[in-house]
Amino acid sequence: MDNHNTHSADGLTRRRFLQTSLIVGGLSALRQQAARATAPQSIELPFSRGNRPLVAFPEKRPLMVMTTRPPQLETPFPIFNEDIFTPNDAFFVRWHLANFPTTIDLQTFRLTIRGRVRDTLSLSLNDLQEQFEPMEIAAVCQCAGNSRGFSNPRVAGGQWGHGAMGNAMWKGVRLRDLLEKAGSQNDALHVRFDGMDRPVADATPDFLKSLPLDDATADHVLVAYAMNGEPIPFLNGFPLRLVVPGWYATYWVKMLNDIEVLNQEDHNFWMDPAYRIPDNACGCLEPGQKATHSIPLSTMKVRSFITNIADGATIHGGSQVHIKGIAFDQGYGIDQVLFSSDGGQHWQAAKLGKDYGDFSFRQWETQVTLKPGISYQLQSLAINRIGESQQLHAKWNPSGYLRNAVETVHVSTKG
Amino acid sequence: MFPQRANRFMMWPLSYILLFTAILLTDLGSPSLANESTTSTPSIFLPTDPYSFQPGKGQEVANAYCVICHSADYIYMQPEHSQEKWVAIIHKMKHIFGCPIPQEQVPTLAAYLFRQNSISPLPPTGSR
Repeated sequence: MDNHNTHSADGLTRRRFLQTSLIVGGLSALRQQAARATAPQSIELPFSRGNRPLVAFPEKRPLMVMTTRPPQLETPFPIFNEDIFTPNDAFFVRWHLANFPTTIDLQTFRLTIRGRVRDTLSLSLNDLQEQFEPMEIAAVCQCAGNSRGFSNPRVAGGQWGHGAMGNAMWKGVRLRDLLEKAGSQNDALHVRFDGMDRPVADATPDFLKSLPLDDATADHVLVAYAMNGEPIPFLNGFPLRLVVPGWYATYWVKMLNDIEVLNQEDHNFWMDPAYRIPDNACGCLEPGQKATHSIPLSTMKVRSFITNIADGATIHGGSQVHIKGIAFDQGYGIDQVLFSSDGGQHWQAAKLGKDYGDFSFRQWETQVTLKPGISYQLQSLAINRIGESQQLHAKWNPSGYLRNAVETVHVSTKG
Repeated sequence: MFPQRANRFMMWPLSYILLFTAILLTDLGSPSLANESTTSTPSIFLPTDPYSFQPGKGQEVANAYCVICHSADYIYMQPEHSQEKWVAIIHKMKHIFGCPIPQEQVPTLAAYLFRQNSISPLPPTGSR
């Protein structure tokens, strides 16, 4: 894995927590208010009821508000054109339960590892940083329902555009090292994760997620304390977040403070019946059908996007047009990105950008000649290293998960 | 007729701005004074709900139960659902998420949410 040279951060000090969590928050609040007069107030996603106000939450620049409480904030899409790493203050936000801490005492904060282990562990942030080998990985965190608003027919749930995803350099300790220190017992089968978020109503199921032991102990699964070289923003899971590269974000438990080793499969609400997909090759159904058998959602599907031209844009034709985008998959890595300007009738190979690791966004670019006065349908199609490619036409399931269709950017050209 | 969006200045309470300003000035002026108990307890202040349920029969039910757990924009961002779908959603809230809404109020709420959800298209933020 490449080391991103700006992220060789030292251990995080309290002072840095103060600077990033409080000072920068305060500064950006003041700066954003000063800039408010000229900034757009909302973004319209291209589906009904897609108006998203732009509001700056703590430690965040103005993002698209899908819901306020609990916060669900989408990254405006042009940001994905700027850097292969999504800035922390632009990274999408999704909470299930409104009752999460807005203040955390790092003196008393502990991560507990318990259950089917030899020794129960209770670790401070300093313990994690001092007793375990640090590890860094670039990885995409994508909501299972990213792009749900494009489901046809529409389905209930969070109506995301394409911006419920982000790529970051995560730093932390291997979950495997923690489990080894605690000593998983022979009958250990699954590992369950709980964060500090709690339901508002007593009867609401607490948000818990589990991984099979083999997946939990994979080399790249981290308990992360840093994101892009800074403490993780509160709204992205400060102070610790589970990082499960290749898996949908529902498993990336935020404000992680409890890890329980189980000797059986976990059937808590958020594993069953929530976050499940039809048990078939495509994870899809005919619209209106219900799945007879379902399995827990797990790894992501290969996707790509054009990032430098917006859907509906008018651009200059008659010369070479530079097209740029991103692609990612579940961790096999991107083998090829194809580009079409005629809605998929003809394809040309795009050039891949720098490789930041198999779990990262991969930038791509190409050139195409577009004539003036014509409408074009620009598309990209990514293929990963095991030959999986995007769907040419969107599949459907009742929860609006797993979308990986080829997306179309409609442009018209002028002379 | 539409949810009122608070001016963003109102979403950042004055005390918040004053607190940040004070911390900012303190920190720049005398970095060595950073207090351990303060610096080890970072905090954020979340904006308050800018939306409210709009007048209509059933508004009081929505205000009594829906907003216990979530803001009103959870309804206003949904695609168009049938009234039957809203009944199913309310039942999920009641039986799975533990919303304490009495059964006899479910039809009133479903009819209200269906009507609210039919307000389409929503106007741009500025006019809300």
